[in-house]
Amino acid sequence: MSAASRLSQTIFKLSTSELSGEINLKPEAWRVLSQVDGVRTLAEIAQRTGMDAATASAIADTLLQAHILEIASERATPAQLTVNSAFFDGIALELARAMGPMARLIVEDAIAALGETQEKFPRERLADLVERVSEEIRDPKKRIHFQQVMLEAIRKI
Amino acid sequence: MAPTIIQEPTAYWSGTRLTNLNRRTFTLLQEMDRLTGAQRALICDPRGTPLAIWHLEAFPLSREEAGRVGACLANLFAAFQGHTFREIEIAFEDRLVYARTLGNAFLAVVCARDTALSLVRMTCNVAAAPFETDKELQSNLSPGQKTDIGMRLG
Repeated sequence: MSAASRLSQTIFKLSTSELSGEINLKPEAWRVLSQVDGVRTLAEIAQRTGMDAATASAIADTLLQAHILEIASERATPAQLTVNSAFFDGIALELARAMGPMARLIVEDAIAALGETQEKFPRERLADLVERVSEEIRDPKKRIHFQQVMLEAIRKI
Repeated sequence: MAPTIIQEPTAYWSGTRLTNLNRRTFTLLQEMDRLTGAQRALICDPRGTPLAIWHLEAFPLSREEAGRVGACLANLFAAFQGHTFREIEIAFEDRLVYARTLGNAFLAVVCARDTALSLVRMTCNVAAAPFETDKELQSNLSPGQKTDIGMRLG
């Protein structure tokens, strides 16, 4: 993983250390600084400010070295975030409502087709999984309803 | 809530016809607020004329720019003679553009490059359903019907 992409998952906060002397900030740095709230990742800040990730990372690094920012926490990278097995029960249950008892098998096949396992299924691929299994639902209304329910579930994770 | 620009009254779009159009486009575009990575979105008539625009504050989208994007996508949808397409996905270096038909209109969403397209497609599917199944609206949007490009900030 590159330094820039690692930094993109970092959450910054304003430094609590004493700053001395005059501090000059370029407009781009001010835009980043104004979005730092101890909650957003640098990637989210880059998106909100319309900056590319590399520029935002370079600015954050400069502010870090100047002791204006400090690291609040480092979120695990998306690849490390996996899905609780209960979520798959939810998918299978909802899919069964739309197409019957084969749902569990279809979910398992779809997970395998994505080259993943239930135990280590990455969250970032959940939408791929839901979309893939929803293609098995022939009734368009039921398919839309399934996607709607699963989208809500994904957003809650 | 991100700014949404809807159709303003014109000779064609007026009364209940306009009210229904704006209700449907506004409701659809509000779903973009919930789509992580979405930056801009527009709904166009079959010729690519924007009927409604949504964008994040950091990613402005003027009526003129939306008109250019809409016209290009309308041409792309019709580019291959004898083939009709429901979806277009374009990957630029720094962004993704996803477009899909909405019956007699189409929706285009501009997203950050790393946005999961499956999430975009499903969000659009769900959001599009009421728009696509509104028979009166689809009739009003059908090719040959007069449309105007006048808009206002909603």
